This record gives sequence, C-alpha cells and structure tokens, in this order.
Amino acid sequence: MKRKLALYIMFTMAVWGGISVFIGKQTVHNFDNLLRNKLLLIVGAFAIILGLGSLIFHHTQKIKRNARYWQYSYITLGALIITSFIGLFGGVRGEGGLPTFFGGTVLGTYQGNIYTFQDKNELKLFKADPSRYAREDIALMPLPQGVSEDLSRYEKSVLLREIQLRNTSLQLQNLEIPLMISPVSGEVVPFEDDFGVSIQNIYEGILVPCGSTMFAMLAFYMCSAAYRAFRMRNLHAGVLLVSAFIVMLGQIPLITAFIPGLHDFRQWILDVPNLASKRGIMIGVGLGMAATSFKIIFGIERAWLGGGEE
Amino acid sequence: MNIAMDFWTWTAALLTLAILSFLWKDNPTYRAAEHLYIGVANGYSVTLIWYNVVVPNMIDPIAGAYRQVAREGMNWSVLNPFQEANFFVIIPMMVGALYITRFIPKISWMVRIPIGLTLGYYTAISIPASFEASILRQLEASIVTRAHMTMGFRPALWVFLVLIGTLSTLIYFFFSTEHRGILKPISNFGILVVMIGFGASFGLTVMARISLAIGRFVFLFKDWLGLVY
Repeated sequence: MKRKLALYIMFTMAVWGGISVFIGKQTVHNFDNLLRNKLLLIVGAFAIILGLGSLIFHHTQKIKRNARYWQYSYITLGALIITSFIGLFGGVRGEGGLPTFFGGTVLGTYQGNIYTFQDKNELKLFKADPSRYAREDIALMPLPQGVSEDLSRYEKSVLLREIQLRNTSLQLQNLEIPLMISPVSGEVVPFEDDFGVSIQNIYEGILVPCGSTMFAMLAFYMCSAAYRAFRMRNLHAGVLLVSAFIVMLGQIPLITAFIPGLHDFRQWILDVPNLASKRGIMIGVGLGMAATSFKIIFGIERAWLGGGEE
Repeated sequence: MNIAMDFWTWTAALLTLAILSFLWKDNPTYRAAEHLYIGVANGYSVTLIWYNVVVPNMIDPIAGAYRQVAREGMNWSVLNPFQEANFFVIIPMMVGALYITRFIPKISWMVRIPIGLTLGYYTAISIPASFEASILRQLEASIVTRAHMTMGFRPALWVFLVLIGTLSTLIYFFFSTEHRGILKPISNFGILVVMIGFGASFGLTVMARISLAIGRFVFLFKDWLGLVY
C-alpha cells in the first residue's frame, strides 16, 4: 500500500503535468506556473538535505571505521562546513552579516601621477595586485566605462594590455591615493578591501581551478584511451579515427595554414555527416525518453521506488 | 618573472598543480585537493540553494505574511499561494521535509512522496518537450523542400545527404527486424555516418579539454608566475 500511495501521487501529478500543457485557460496556466516555479521548487530544495546527509554519513563512517584514506574525509567535512558557513552568513555577494572582506587600515597617502581615462575622471582602483604592474605605471588605472568589475584576473590583464596599446585614451593625473599594508603580501598597496573570503573568492580560487583542471586532465586520458581504441582494426574504426583527426587538426591554425581546405573539410564533416548522425541519434533519444517517461508514469518502471517494504 | 602575491591566486595555482600531479600517479596532494573540491562544491551548493530558493521562496513569503498578520490581523489572504507574502508555502515545505525521513528507517518509505510528486510532474512535462525538441524539430529540419533546390547544386546535395544519413542512422538503430535485403546496405551506410559523427564528437571533446588545459597553463605561467605577459 505504501508503494501504491507513492505511485498514485506520482500518477496524479503526471496527469496534471500532462493536461496542463494542453489547456489554454489562464487559471490553469497560473496554477501550473505556481506549481512549477514555486511549490515544486520548494519541495525539490529539500533534496539537498538528502545529498548532504549521505555525504556527511559516508565520511563520518569512513572516519569511524578508519577506512582507507579516512584522513581525507576531514578535509571534505571541514571544507563543507567552512564553505557553508561563509556562504550562509557572508552571503553570495557579501551581503550577509559575516565580514568576508578584510582590508587594512589607512597608513597614509600617496601623491603622484596616475593614469586615468579621459572620459572617466572618477578614480577606481584596479583590483589586481599592483606590484605586478608597477613597472608599467598602470597599476592604479581604472577600468574603462561599462566594463564589469567582475572580470577574471586574466581578462583584466588582457584589458590592461589593450589600454596600454591605446595610450592616447589615457590621461595622466596627479592624485592622492590612500595606502595600506596588505594583510596578505605585507606590501604597501592602495587602500581597498584587500583580502576576501567571500563565497565568490572560494568559487574563483578553489572551485573553478579544481573543476577546470580535472576536466583538462581528461584530455590526457582521452588521448591515451584513443590510442588503444582507435587502432585501425576495420573500416568503421578507420572512419572514426580519420574523422576525429580531421576535426582536431582542422581546428589548429598552424596546421590549417599549411593544408589548404582542411578547415572547410572539417566544417563539412561537422555540418553534414555529423549532423545526420546526431539527428538520427537525437530522434532515437527523443523516442526513448518519451517511452521511458510513459513507463514511469504508468508504473511499469518502478526503480525509483527503491527496495524495502511494500 | 613577476610572481603573483595574492592569496587566492596562490591557492588556485597550488590546487591546479595538486590535481595535475595525478598525471604522475595517485598521491596525497591529489587526494587532498579532490576531497577539498567535493566539500567546497557541496558547501557552495548549500549557499546557492539557500539564497536562490530558500530565502525568496520560503523565508521571505512567511516573514512577509507574519508581518502582514501583525499589522492587519489574521485574514484569509495570507493563505493565498498566489500572493507574494503567504503561509501556504509551509505545505510544500512540510512535503519537502519528508526527504529527511530517508534517515529514519521506520518511516523511510515516506521519502517516496516528495520523489513521486516531482518525478510525476517533471516526467509528464518532459514528454511534449522531448517530442518537440528531439523529434518534431529534427524531422522538420531534415525535410527537403523546394527552397533547398534553389540554393545551388552543392548545398542541395548536402541537404539530401543529411536526410539519407539521418534515415540510415535510424535504420541502423532499428533492431526490431533483421538487417537483410535492402536494409543491409542502408544500415551499413548508417554505421559509417554514425562513426563519422562519433569521431567528430570525440575530436571536439578532446579539443575542448585541450583548450581547458591551455587555460590552466596560461593561468600558471601568466597569472601566477608572471612569466608571460
């Protein structure tokens, strides 16, 4: 009966979801919007408790049992607690109560020539580490108008280079800048919120590098896997190998400069045979998804109910 | 050489190196970085869900309704789910809280209720969406029209080739009948098309990963070590 209750609830919701798409009444549309964008969102948000609970349970059990590499579980749990604490109390954009930026106190002021933009006299300190750009005297340059402050370090350096090249758009001004000792580097830097431990810093300093490096590392493993898998054993493997190589080589400017027509051939592969195969697969996937959805709705596929009692 | 001096650049650089060290072999620095990544990623998800779902959809409506009741006294409008400030959101919160029953063996079956609610609804609405996006749109795009014929010989030929390729791919994956007679050469052509497609996908994936790897090395040599400008 307990399993049937869940099946009935699921079926009722499916019937509603199915018919609401085809009913044009505004009232139905409004209720469907409320259900989709609010009520089910609230229900779904609680699923994270399940995920977190499983993660915490798994790692605490590892520590309890002194399982292999149990020491690392402390890192996961610690990182989870610290990140959640900073995020929840510091806010996504530092709007929370927790101080997430720690600046130094003003030591004094610096008076000197500083480059500013002709069209923007408002002084905005450049956030990147000034010591790196000190030799170019552009450390304290403001970002151009309309450019977001949330640029990555790489983008900012590219931007600075651009500015440096277009020297005419800059003007030199004699300004007074408040200074402080950086709590991180110990150097005298322009006064600003120098050291941040906001969730955005954690995102840019830990999540992005770890995630992109892990994906980047797959390139090495894919190449070694390809070496084993792509041996030209038959015509089909040969076609796969040639297609992959043309697509890869056709993207490298140095190669396409020496082999005329390679880039166009690569584009043809992507636009014609690749499109045909992807289209065929996509139609098959669409039919499969619809069939699986019907199986779930009509209770033929019940794996989601899990094991356990009736 | 102009090494970066800020804390987060160093953190990012050391973590990048720690993860890249796995190319040599599994080692403690990689494992530490990996575990750190898992913890931080989950903590970040908690923050995002809190500020993007919990606060605007749960806390704000309830707090607003509470203030309204305190100001105007109890009235039915605070139970209206269509109103910005309402107490109605407590009901889906209670249903969502049933996820926690998964950790209480005696009533763990109740976890199926919120799963059933969301699964039923989203499965049902995915059917027309998948028909629309994966089937109808693809069929529509595959149809050869008179307009294609006016585009010139080559483009028209490619459009035909896409149609034939799509049909042969579908026939190759059609297992309800044995591939004999006319179906055999068609399915053979289909597997060739599929192989070209898989090769292209592989090539694109490798290039995307290489691009990421270049990005990481640019970060290390430029942003961290300041060796290149």
